[in-house]
Amino acid sequence: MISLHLVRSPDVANLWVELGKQASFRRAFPFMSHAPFQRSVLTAKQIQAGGEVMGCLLQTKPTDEFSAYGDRESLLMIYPEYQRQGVGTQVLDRIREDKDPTFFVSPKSNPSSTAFFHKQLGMSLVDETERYRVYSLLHSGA
Amino acid sequence: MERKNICWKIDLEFYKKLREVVQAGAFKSISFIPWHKGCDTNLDATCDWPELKDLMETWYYEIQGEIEIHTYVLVTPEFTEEKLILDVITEWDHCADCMSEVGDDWDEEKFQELVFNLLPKRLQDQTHALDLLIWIEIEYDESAKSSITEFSISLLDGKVDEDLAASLSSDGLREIREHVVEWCLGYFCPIGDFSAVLEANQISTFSTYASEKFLMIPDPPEREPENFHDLTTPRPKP
Repeated sequence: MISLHLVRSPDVANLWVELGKQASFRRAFPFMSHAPFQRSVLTAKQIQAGGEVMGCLLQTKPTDEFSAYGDRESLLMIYPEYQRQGVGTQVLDRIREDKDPTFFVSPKSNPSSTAFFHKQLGMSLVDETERYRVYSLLHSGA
Repeated sequence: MERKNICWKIDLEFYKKLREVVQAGAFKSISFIPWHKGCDTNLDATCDWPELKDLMETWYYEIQGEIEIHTYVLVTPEFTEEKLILDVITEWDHCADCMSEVGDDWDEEKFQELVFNLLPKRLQDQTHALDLLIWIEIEYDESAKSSITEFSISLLDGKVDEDLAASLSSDGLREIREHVVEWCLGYFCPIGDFSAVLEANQISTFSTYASEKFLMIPDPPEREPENFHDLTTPRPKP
Protein backbone atom coordinates (compact mmCIF):
# COMPACT_ATOMS: atom_id res chain seq x y z
CA MET A 1 0.00 0.00 0.00
CA ILE A 2 1.45 3.32 -1.02
CA SER A 3 1.45 6.50 1.03
CA LEU A 4 1.92 10.11 -0.04
CA HIS A 5 4.26 12.30 1.99
CA LEU A 6 4.10 16.04 1.62
CA VAL A 7 7.49 17.61 0.96
CA ARG A 8 7.55 20.79 3.06
CA SER A 9 8.87 24.02 1.64
CA PRO A 10 12.38 23.97 3.16
CA ASP A 11 12.95 20.55 1.57
CA VAL A 12 11.44 21.31 -1.83
CA ALA A 13 14.64 22.98 -3.04
CA ASN A 14 16.55 19.80 -2.21
CA LEU A 15 13.89 17.80 -4.03
CA TRP A 16 14.54 19.77 -7.23
CA VAL A 17 18.25 19.15 -6.93
CA GLU A 18 17.74 15.42 -6.39
CA LEU A 19 15.19 15.04 -9.16
CA GLY A 20 17.28 17.16 -11.52
CA LYS A 21 20.08 14.60 -11.30
CA GLN A 22 17.89 11.96 -12.93
CA ALA A 23 17.56 11.93 -16.71
CA SER A 24 14.18 10.18 -16.40
CA PHE A 25 12.80 13.16 -14.47
CA ARG A 26 14.31 15.66 -16.87
CA ARG A 27 12.63 13.73 -19.69
CA ALA A 28 9.28 13.73 -17.89
CA PHE A 29 9.40 17.40 -16.84
CA PRO A 30 11.84 19.29 -19.09
CA PHE A 31 11.09 22.62 -17.41
CA MET A 32 11.86 21.28 -13.95
CA SER A 33 14.98 23.43 -13.59
CA HIS A 34 13.10 26.61 -14.56
CA ALA A 35 12.41 28.81 -11.55
CA PRO A 36 8.98 29.87 -12.90
CA PHE A 37 7.97 26.20 -13.18
CA GLN A 38 9.16 25.53 -9.64
CA ARG A 39 7.13 28.50 -8.43
CA SER A 40 4.03 27.09 -10.13
CA VAL A 41 4.16 23.96 -7.96
CA LEU A 42 1.43 24.04 -5.31
CA THR A 43 2.29 20.79 -3.57
CA ALA A 44 5.00 18.17 -3.95
CA LYS A 45 4.50 14.70 -2.50
CA GLN A 46 6.77 11.70 -2.42
CA ILE A 47 5.19 8.33 -3.18
CA GLN A 48 6.40 5.77 -0.68
CA ALA A 49 5.80 2.09 0.13
CA GLY A 50 7.76 -0.27 2.32
CA GLY A 51 10.28 2.44 3.13
CA GLU A 52 11.09 2.99 -0.55
CA VAL A 53 10.52 6.26 -2.39
CA MET A 54 8.85 5.18 -5.63
CA GLY A 55 8.12 8.49 -7.28
CA CYS A 56 6.69 11.90 -6.98
CA LEU A 57 3.35 13.65 -7.37
CA LEU A 58 3.34 17.35 -8.14
CA GLN A 59 0.32 19.59 -8.29
CA THR A 60 0.83 22.80 -10.20
CA LYS A 61 -1.04 25.89 -11.17
CA PRO A 62 -1.34 25.48 -14.93
CA THR A 63 -0.25 28.29 -17.23
CA ASP A 64 -0.69 29.23 -20.83
CA GLU A 65 -2.89 26.89 -22.92
CA PHE A 66 -3.19 24.39 -20.05
CA SER A 67 -5.03 26.82 -17.79
CA ALA A 68 -8.11 26.17 -19.93
CA TYR A 69 -8.41 22.69 -18.40
CA GLY A 70 -8.68 23.73 -14.76
CA ASP A 71 -6.96 25.35 -11.80
CA ARG A 72 -4.84 22.39 -10.82
CA GLU A 73 -2.72 20.10 -12.95
CA SER A 74 -1.30 16.89 -11.50
CA LEU A 75 2.07 15.60 -12.64
CA LEU A 76 2.81 12.01 -11.77
CA MET A 77 6.24 10.43 -11.99
CA ILE A 78 6.95 6.85 -10.99
CA TYR A 79 10.64 5.92 -10.94
CA PRO A 80 11.42 3.56 -13.83
CA GLU A 81 12.23 0.63 -11.52
CA TYR A 82 8.76 0.85 -9.93
CA GLN A 83 6.74 1.28 -13.11
CA ARG A 84 4.25 -1.37 -14.30
CA GLN A 85 3.57 -2.47 -10.71
CA GLY A 86 0.29 -0.68 -10.13
CA VAL A 87 1.87 2.18 -8.15
CA GLY A 88 0.52 4.90 -10.43
CA THR A 89 -3.00 3.44 -10.31
CA GLN A 90 -2.88 3.47 -6.50
CA VAL A 91 -1.81 7.12 -6.57
CA LEU A 92 -4.78 7.97 -8.80
CA ASP A 93 -7.08 6.20 -6.33
CA ARG A 94 -5.65 8.35 -3.53
CA ILE A 95 -6.14 11.55 -5.51
CA ARG A 96 -9.69 10.48 -6.31
CA GLU A 97 -10.42 10.21 -2.57
CA ASP A 98 -9.55 13.92 -2.21
CA LYS A 99 -12.37 14.80 -4.62
CA ASP A 100 -10.48 17.91 -5.73
CA PRO A 101 -10.81 18.50 -9.45
CA THR A 102 -7.53 18.02 -11.26
CA PHE A 103 -6.30 17.02 -14.70
CA PHE A 104 -3.33 15.25 -16.22
CA VAL A 105 -1.47 16.00 -19.45
CA SER A 106 -0.07 12.95 -21.23
CA PRO A 107 2.44 13.74 -23.98
CA LYS A 108 2.09 11.54 -27.04
CA SER A 109 5.88 11.43 -27.33
CA ASN A 110 6.11 9.53 -24.03
CA PRO A 111 5.10 5.88 -24.62
CA SER A 112 5.10 5.03 -20.89
CA SER A 113 2.67 7.84 -20.19
CA THR A 114 0.47 6.91 -23.14
CA ALA A 115 0.32 3.26 -22.06
CA PHE A 116 -0.41 4.18 -18.45
CA PHE A 117 -3.31 6.53 -19.13
CA HIS A 118 -4.73 4.31 -21.87
CA LYS A 119 -5.39 1.51 -19.39
CA GLN A 120 -6.89 3.68 -16.65
CA LEU A 121 -10.62 3.06 -16.34
CA GLY A 122 -11.40 5.84 -13.89
CA MET A 123 -10.37 8.68 -16.15
CA SER A 124 -12.00 10.57 -18.94
CA LEU A 125 -10.27 11.95 -22.00
CA VAL A 126 -11.26 15.62 -22.09
CA ASP A 127 -9.11 16.86 -24.96
CA GLU A 128 -6.57 15.68 -27.49
CA THR A 129 -4.14 17.72 -29.57
CA GLU A 130 -1.30 16.82 -31.90
CA ARG A 131 1.11 16.77 -28.94
CA TYR A 132 -0.84 15.56 -25.91
CA ARG A 133 -3.99 14.15 -24.36
CA VAL A 134 -5.69 15.68 -21.35
CA TYR A 135 -7.39 13.43 -18.82
CA SER A 136 -9.48 14.18 -15.78
CA LEU A 137 -10.32 11.87 -12.91
CA LEU A 138 -13.81 10.43 -12.66
CA HIS A 139 -14.91 10.83 -9.04
CA SER A 140 -17.20 8.16 -7.66
CA GLY A 141 -20.69 9.49 -7.07
CA ALA A 142 -19.87 12.70 -8.90
CA MET B 1 28.37 33.69 -26.88
CA GLU B 2 29.56 31.56 -23.99
CA ARG B 3 31.22 28.35 -25.19
CA LYS B 4 32.32 25.32 -23.24
CA ASN B 5 34.06 22.17 -24.42
CA ILE B 6 32.91 19.03 -22.69
CA CYS B 7 34.13 15.43 -23.04
CA TRP B 8 31.20 13.03 -23.00
CA LYS B 9 31.40 9.23 -22.90
CA ILE B 10 28.90 7.24 -24.96
CA ASP B 11 28.43 3.57 -25.63
CA LEU B 12 30.96 2.26 -28.14
CA GLU B 13 28.37 0.85 -30.56
CA PHE B 14 26.42 4.13 -30.50
CA TYR B 15 29.66 6.00 -31.13
CA LYS B 16 30.62 3.84 -34.12
CA LYS B 17 27.24 4.14 -35.78
CA LEU B 18 27.02 7.86 -35.03
CA ARG B 19 30.44 8.49 -36.52
CA GLU B 20 29.49 6.47 -39.58
CA VAL B 21 26.37 8.50 -40.36
CA VAL B 22 28.06 11.81 -39.58
CA GLN B 23 31.01 10.99 -41.85
CA ALA B 24 28.57 9.99 -44.58
CA GLY B 25 26.77 13.33 -44.23
CA ALA B 26 23.56 11.44 -43.48
CA PHE B 27 22.88 13.11 -40.12
CA LYS B 28 22.78 16.90 -40.40
CA SER B 29 21.15 18.05 -37.17
CA ILE B 30 18.53 17.47 -34.53
CA SER B 31 16.58 20.07 -32.60
CA PHE B 32 14.55 19.96 -29.42
CA ILE B 33 11.79 22.27 -28.26
CA PRO B 34 10.92 21.34 -24.68
CA TRP B 35 7.59 22.05 -23.01
CA HIS B 36 6.50 21.18 -19.51
CA LYS B 37 5.70 17.52 -20.21
CA GLY B 38 8.00 16.59 -23.06
CA CYS B 39 9.68 18.00 -26.09
CA ASP B 40 9.13 18.28 -29.82
CA THR B 41 12.02 16.75 -31.74
CA ASN B 42 13.00 17.46 -35.34
CA LEU B 43 15.58 15.20 -36.93
CA ASP B 44 17.35 16.17 -40.14
CA ALA B 45 18.84 12.88 -41.29
CA THR B 46 18.71 10.63 -44.33
CA CYS B 47 20.29 7.54 -42.78
CA ASP B 48 18.42 4.28 -42.32
CA TRP B 49 18.73 4.22 -38.54
CA PRO B 50 15.28 4.24 -36.90
CA GLU B 51 16.71 4.38 -33.37
CA LEU B 52 18.74 7.54 -34.00
CA LYS B 53 16.00 9.92 -32.84
CA ASP B 54 15.42 8.05 -29.57
CA LEU B 55 19.14 7.68 -28.89
CA MET B 56 19.75 11.38 -29.46
CA GLU B 57 16.76 12.29 -27.33
CA THR B 58 18.11 10.14 -24.50
CA TRP B 59 21.50 11.82 -24.90
CA TYR B 60 19.84 15.23 -24.82
CA TYR B 61 18.23 14.48 -21.46
CA GLU B 62 21.54 13.19 -20.12
CA ILE B 63 23.38 16.38 -21.00
CA GLN B 64 20.68 18.76 -19.77
CA GLY B 65 22.57 19.41 -16.58
CA GLU B 66 25.53 20.65 -18.64
CA ILE B 67 23.74 23.12 -20.88
CA GLU B 68 22.07 26.42 -20.25
CA ILE B 69 18.38 26.79 -19.50
CA HIS B 70 16.62 26.86 -22.87
CA THR B 71 13.45 26.72 -24.92
CA TYR B 72 15.17 25.49 -28.09
CA VAL B 73 18.28 23.40 -28.75
CA LEU B 74 20.02 22.75 -32.04
CA VAL B 75 22.55 19.91 -32.15
CA THR B 76 24.86 19.75 -35.16
CA PRO B 77 27.33 16.86 -35.45
CA GLU B 78 30.72 17.07 -37.12
CA PHE B 79 33.65 14.73 -37.57
CA THR B 80 36.96 16.51 -38.01
CA GLU B 81 40.53 15.54 -37.21
CA GLU B 82 39.35 12.13 -36.00
CA LYS B 83 37.10 13.79 -33.45
CA LEU B 84 33.35 13.34 -33.25
CA ILE B 85 31.89 16.56 -31.92
CA LEU B 86 28.29 17.57 -31.23
CA ASP B 87 27.88 21.32 -31.39
CA VAL B 88 25.01 22.37 -29.14
CA ILE B 89 23.45 25.81 -29.43
CA THR B 90 20.78 26.74 -26.92
CA GLU B 91 18.25 29.52 -27.16
CA TRP B 92 16.10 30.68 -24.30
CA ASP B 93 13.12 32.69 -25.44
CA HIS B 94 11.96 34.23 -22.20
CA CYS B 95 8.52 34.85 -23.74
CA ALA B 96 8.02 31.39 -25.29
CA ASP B 97 8.82 29.69 -22.00
CA CYS B 98 5.17 29.43 -21.04
CA MET B 99 6.09 29.32 -17.37
CA SER B 100 7.86 32.67 -17.41
CA GLU B 101 6.13 35.90 -16.70
CA VAL B 102 7.35 38.69 -18.95
CA GLY B 103 6.41 41.73 -16.89
CA ASP B 104 4.21 44.65 -17.60
CA ASP B 105 7.06 47.13 -17.30
CA TRP B 106 7.10 47.71 -21.04
CA ASP B 107 5.38 51.05 -21.65
CA GLU B 108 3.56 50.63 -24.96
CA GLU B 109 2.28 54.20 -25.14
CA LYS B 110 5.70 55.66 -24.41
CA PHE B 111 7.12 53.57 -27.25
CA GLN B 112 4.38 54.66 -29.64
CA GLU B 113 5.00 58.31 -28.69
CA LEU B 114 8.74 57.89 -29.27
CA VAL B 115 8.25 56.46 -32.77
CA PHE B 116 5.51 58.95 -33.60
CA ASN B 117 7.73 61.93 -32.66
CA LEU B 118 10.42 60.64 -35.01
CA LEU B 119 8.09 60.56 -38.01
CA PRO B 120 8.21 63.46 -40.48
CA LYS B 121 5.77 66.25 -39.57
CA ARG B 122 3.58 65.66 -42.63
CA LEU B 123 2.97 62.04 -41.50
CA GLN B 124 2.39 63.05 -37.89
CA ASP B 125 -0.38 65.31 -39.14
CA GLN B 126 -2.13 62.36 -40.78
CA THR B 127 -2.16 60.01 -37.82
CA HIS B 128 -1.97 59.67 -34.04
CA ALA B 129 0.67 58.09 -31.82
CA LEU B 130 -1.73 55.51 -30.36
CA ASP B 131 -2.72 54.36 -33.86
CA LEU B 132 0.78 53.08 -34.59
CA LEU B 133 1.35 49.32 -34.70
CA ILE B 134 5.09 48.72 -34.72
CA TRP B 135 6.90 45.50 -35.60
CA ILE B 136 10.63 45.44 -34.94
CA GLU B 137 13.37 42.82 -34.60
CA ILE B 138 16.66 43.71 -32.99
CA GLU B 139 19.87 41.73 -32.58
CA TYR B 140 22.43 42.61 -29.97
CA ASP B 141 25.87 41.08 -29.55
CA GLU B 142 28.08 41.09 -26.52
CA SER B 143 30.33 43.80 -27.93
CA ALA B 144 27.28 46.03 -27.39
CA LYS B 145 26.60 46.34 -31.12
CA SER B 146 22.98 46.16 -32.08
CA SER B 147 21.10 46.25 -35.33
CA ILE B 148 17.55 46.33 -36.57
CA THR B 149 16.90 43.31 -38.78
CA GLU B 150 13.16 43.84 -39.39
CA PHE B 151 11.07 46.95 -39.02
CA SER B 152 7.60 47.95 -40.13
CA ILE B 153 4.83 50.24 -39.02
CA SER B 154 1.16 49.94 -39.78
CA LEU B 155 -1.84 51.88 -38.55
CA LEU B 156 -4.89 50.73 -36.68
CA ASP B 157 -7.14 52.36 -39.30
CA GLY B 158 -4.64 51.95 -42.17
CA LYS B 159 -5.37 55.36 -43.64
CA VAL B 160 -1.80 56.40 -44.67
CA ASP B 161 -0.51 54.77 -47.85
CA GLU B 162 3.10 55.85 -47.40
CA ASP B 163 5.64 53.45 -45.87
CA LEU B 164 5.99 54.91 -42.37
CA ALA B 165 9.05 52.83 -41.45
CA ALA B 166 10.92 53.99 -44.55
CA SER B 167 10.25 57.61 -43.65
CA LEU B 168 12.40 57.44 -40.51
CA SER B 169 15.95 58.81 -40.58
CA SER B 170 18.95 56.72 -39.55
CA ASP B 171 19.16 58.79 -36.36
CA GLY B 172 15.52 58.01 -35.68
CA LEU B 173 16.09 54.30 -36.18
CA ARG B 174 19.08 54.45 -33.86
CA GLU B 175 16.96 56.12 -31.18
CA ILE B 176 14.26 53.46 -31.46
CA ARG B 177 16.85 50.69 -31.38
CA GLU B 178 18.56 52.15 -28.32
CA HIS B 179 15.24 52.52 -26.51
CA VAL B 180 14.40 48.83 -27.00
CA VAL B 181 17.92 47.65 -26.19
CA GLU B 182 18.12 49.76 -23.05
CA TRP B 183 14.78 48.42 -21.81
CA CYS B 184 15.78 44.81 -22.54
CA LEU B 185 19.13 45.23 -20.77
CA GLY B 186 17.40 46.70 -17.74
CA TYR B 187 14.51 44.25 -17.59
CA PHE B 188 16.10 40.92 -18.57
CA CYS B 189 19.71 41.65 -17.50
CA PRO B 190 21.07 39.34 -20.21
CA ILE B 191 24.68 38.24 -20.40
CA GLY B 192 25.98 38.13 -23.96
CA ASP B 193 24.04 38.14 -27.22
CA PHE B 194 20.31 38.52 -27.41
CA SER B 195 17.54 39.16 -29.90
CA ALA B 196 14.24 40.86 -29.27
CA VAL B 197 11.07 40.98 -31.33
CA LEU B 198 8.20 43.37 -30.83
CA GLU B 199 4.90 42.55 -32.49
CA ALA B 200 2.19 45.20 -32.52
CA ASN B 201 4.16 47.25 -29.97
CA GLN B 202 4.56 44.34 -27.51
CA ILE B 203 7.64 42.30 -26.67
CA SER B 204 6.83 38.88 -28.15
CA THR B 205 10.29 37.29 -28.17
CA PHE B 206 13.37 37.84 -26.10
CA SER B 207 16.06 35.25 -26.69
CA THR B 208 19.47 34.67 -25.17
CA TYR B 209 21.97 32.15 -26.49
CA ALA B 210 24.72 29.83 -25.31
CA SER B 211 26.82 27.19 -27.00
CA GLU B 212 28.75 24.11 -25.95
CA LYS B 213 30.80 21.57 -27.87
CA PHE B 214 30.61 17.95 -26.76
CA LEU B 215 33.59 15.80 -27.71
CA MET B 216 32.21 12.28 -27.92
CA ILE B 217 34.39 9.62 -26.32
CA PRO B 218 33.62 5.92 -26.97
CA ASP B 219 33.19 3.86 -23.82
CA PRO B 220 34.96 1.45 -23.71
CA PRO B 221 37.68 2.93 -25.94
CA GLU B 222 37.42 1.87 -29.55
CA ARG B 223 40.69 -0.05 -29.52
CA GLU B 224 43.39 -0.81 -26.98
CA PRO B 225 46.91 -0.46 -28.39
CA GLU B 226 48.57 -3.83 -28.78
CA ASN B 227 51.59 -4.56 -26.56
CA PHE B 228 50.67 -1.51 -24.52
CA HIS B 229 53.01 -0.80 -21.63
CA ASP B 230 52.39 1.81 -19.04
CA LEU B 231 55.80 3.45 -18.86
CA THR B 232 54.94 5.22 -15.63
CA THR B 233 54.55 1.93 -13.73
CA PRO B 234 57.80 0.65 -12.22
CA ARG B 235 58.70 -2.74 -13.64
CA PRO B 236 59.99 -5.58 -11.53
CA LYS B 237 63.71 -5.95 -11.80
CA PRO B 238 64.80 -9.06 -13.70
